[in-house]
Parts: sequence; structure tokens; C-alpha cells
Amino acid sequence: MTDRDDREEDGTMQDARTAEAAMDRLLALRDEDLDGWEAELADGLDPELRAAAEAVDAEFDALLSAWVDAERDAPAPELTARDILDLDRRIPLPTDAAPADSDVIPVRRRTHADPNGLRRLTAALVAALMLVAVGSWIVALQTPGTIDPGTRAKDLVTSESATRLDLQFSIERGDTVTPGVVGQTLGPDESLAMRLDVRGDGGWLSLFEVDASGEPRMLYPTSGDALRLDVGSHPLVGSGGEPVVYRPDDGVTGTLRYVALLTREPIDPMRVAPGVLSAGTDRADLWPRPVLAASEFTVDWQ
Amino acid sequence: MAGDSRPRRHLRVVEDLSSLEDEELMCLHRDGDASAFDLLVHRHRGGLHRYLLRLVRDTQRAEELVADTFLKIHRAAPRYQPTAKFSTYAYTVAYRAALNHNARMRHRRDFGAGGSAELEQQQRAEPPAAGPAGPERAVRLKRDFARLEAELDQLPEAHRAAFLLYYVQDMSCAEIAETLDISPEEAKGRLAYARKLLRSRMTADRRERT
Repeated sequence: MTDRDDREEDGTMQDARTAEAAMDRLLALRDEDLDGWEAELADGLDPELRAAAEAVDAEFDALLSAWVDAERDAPAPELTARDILDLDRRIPLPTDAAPADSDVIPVRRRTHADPNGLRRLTAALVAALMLVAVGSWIVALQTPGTIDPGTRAKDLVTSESATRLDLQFSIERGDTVTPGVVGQTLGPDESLAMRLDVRGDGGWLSLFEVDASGEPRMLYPTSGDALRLDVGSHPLVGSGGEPVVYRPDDGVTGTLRYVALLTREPIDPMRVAPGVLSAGTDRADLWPRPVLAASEFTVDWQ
Repeated sequence: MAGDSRPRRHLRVVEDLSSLEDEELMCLHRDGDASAFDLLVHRHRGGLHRYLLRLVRDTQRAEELVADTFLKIHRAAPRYQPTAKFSTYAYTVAYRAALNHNARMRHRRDFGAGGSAELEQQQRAEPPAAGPAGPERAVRLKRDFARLEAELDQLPEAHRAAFLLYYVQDMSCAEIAETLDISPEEAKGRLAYARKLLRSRMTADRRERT
């Protein structure tokens, strides 16, 4: 096959994907929600292909319509304004309450809604986090200028922020510390030492470990309260300020992602994590607005 | 009165609240009219409950979150400005409440054992009207509904929320974008993806059964 053939094939596949995407939108959206280009693309689809897709969708559409009707007929809860006003009198306004129309998602204090959740999590994380006091040579990780280009963590910045965060890491093995490489495989006798480099403006740090299924696990801060980081380079430290190295619980293997978030204000990290991490850090434009910057890297634990 | 810059609605005597739009009711509530808030609760409690139930998959929690949503709206009322539709505002508050709840549940690690099973066990009071084809159709439809709901539960919550707002709440893509704080293009993408996925799974399910 020549390059030209390859290009033509790529172009054909691209056209097919575009047509399929247009068809998906045509079937999913009401006419008033279709833009002009979407309608045009749909008009240009192969009539047979379009008819077949519409026939398949018609059956689903009938089911969906019946289900929606049944949903709308479901009884509503017996709730009145009096109940709400009564709640208003009984439940004190949390001190961290944010207006419902602000960017901040109001979260009840743990003492109200979930007295055990973060505490349990913290206990698990404390167990997982090896608080190994090590010499200053451990925390003397490579400076940004000395990091091999291939080892740099992915630095993600939201469109509205000039703040930058760089999550750097090294591999600690016995008495040896070596620069980390993104995607590196780590053995059972190796641990991670991390450092955060903040530029632009400071912010509030939270650090997560994300498994292959996208499940985030809060690593830092272990107290559940966000930690303020000013501009500069900071090693990851324990609650007593001592440098720490990390490896996951015994038996945990596979690819794990480490994501550091810097937020404009101290927030409950568990509020931000699911949205940010499930949307993917590539979609910084979809993040909640308090997120200023993030940085991540991946390693493979054996 | 030239020197009076207050909005006229402060002086308005309203006899029939039911003729007012949600935003007007919210302004009246902001200004101290409790009956306006009662009508708002009455109008939206059902829709919010359905929405939250599908997002958190727990009837009791959904009811609590409906109350929580209205409580937040009530507490934010003094700052309310009718710059957007009330429904998008209310569903924004509800969505955030559901996300918070789900995040907490995920980290309790008992989510799968609790919420989803609870919803699966939830029975509709009656199957949908049998229609001319008789009870067999009703049974089949009920089974299809259960399957559809199970598949809906499998969608990522961001896609599920968009799907519910569009098809059950009849919001536009622009309203969904505002409610979920995403772009209209992203809203469309989520809807197309969700519908395609549900359609393919339901079609495969039917083929297996036949």
C-alpha cells in the first residue's frame, strides 16, 4: 500500500466516523437542538444507512417514550414549603455553606452528614502511606530543570488560570534514588517520592491515586483538610512535616495514576475528585472552577 | 415615583399564583411570600425526585436530597436574581447534591451493595396500561423498563444526568449545558453517546431473548 492509499483510507474512515457521529446526534437530539451543520451532515448520509439506523432507533424510541411516561406518572414525595422552612429552623447553617448559586458546591461538614466516611478513608490511607522519615537526600529530588523530558509528568492547566503545577517523582530503592519515568514499572522494593512545583499563584493541594477503573483514592492530605501550597517547590511531607515516600497497599499491582490538584480555595477534595477524575484530566475545561491546575503521572506497580 | 428604584413586583398584588412563572414565584418568595415557595415546591418536587432517584439510586436518599435542594434554594433566596430559568437553577443544585452524595457513597465502598440493589427491588405500583395487546405486553414492557433502568444505572453519572434532563425533564441542550456547567457541544455529545449505548444494549438484549 502506498502513502496515498493510506491517506485515502484514513480519509474514508474519518468520513465514516463523522457520518456515524452525525447519525448519532440526529437520532438523539430534537430538531430544535440540531445545529445547521449537523442537519447538513445528516442530509448527506447514505439514505439506506440512515433508514436502517432510524428503524433500529424507532424501536428504542418507543420504549423510551413509554418509560418516560411511566416516570412522569410516578408519585411525587409529599413535601411542602412548610417542611423546608421547618428544616431551615432545625438545621443550622453550616459554617462552610456556600450560596446555592455560586461555583462552590456546598458540602455539609462531616460531623453532619458523614461522620465516618473520611475518617475511615484517612485511617486506610495512613496505613497505606509509609511515613518513612528519610534523609534530606530523599527529598532532594531532581529540580524541574534537570528532569529528562521523557520523565515529565503531564501538566494540565485550566483555561482561566495561569497557575501551573508540576508533580515530580523519583524512585526510592534502598539507599538509591533515581529520577522517575512516566509509565515506569516499579518493583516490590521500590517506593515513590514526590515533589510539587507551584508557579504563578499558590493554591490548595489534594493528591489522588486513581486505579484502572477510574476510582480515585485520596492520598493527601491525610487529615482530610486541604493543604495550602505557596509558589515554590515542595516535597510531599507527612503530618509532622517529615518527608515521606509512598507505595500502595501490599498486593495492589497494576497501572496507577497519581493526580495532584491545586484549587483556588480550600474545598472538600472528595467533592472535586469524582467529577475531575471521571471527566479525565485532559478535559480541563470541564473541571469545577475552583480547580486551578493539575499534574499527573502514571506508574506500573508489580 | 421617580425616586423609587425598587422593582415593581414588590408592590404587585397577586391573586392567582398558579399563573406565574417559576422565576416570578421565586422573586415573590425572596420577598417573603411563603405561598409562592410552596407552589414552587409543589411544581418541582416530583421532577427533582425522579431525577435524583435515578442519579443516587436510593429512594430515601433521593427524598432527602430533594428536601436538601429546596433548603439550599430557600437559603439562597435573598440573593436570587432571575437571570436564568428557575428549573436549570434547581436542577443544578440537585445535580451537585447528587454528586456529593455519590462521592461519599463511593468512598464508603458499600455503594454497589446498597443503592443499586434497592432501586432494582423497587417496584412500580402497577405496570403500565396493558393496552389492546393485553397483559403479555404489559409484562414485557415492565421487563424492558427494568432492563432500561439497569442500563441507565450503568451510565457514567454525567451522561445519566444529561440523558434524564433531556428526555424526562424536556430540557434543551442549552439548558442542560447550563445546569451541568458544560458546553452545549459537550451536552450533545453526552446525549448522543448515552442514547447510542442504551439503544445498542437494549437491542442486544432483545435479540438474546428472541
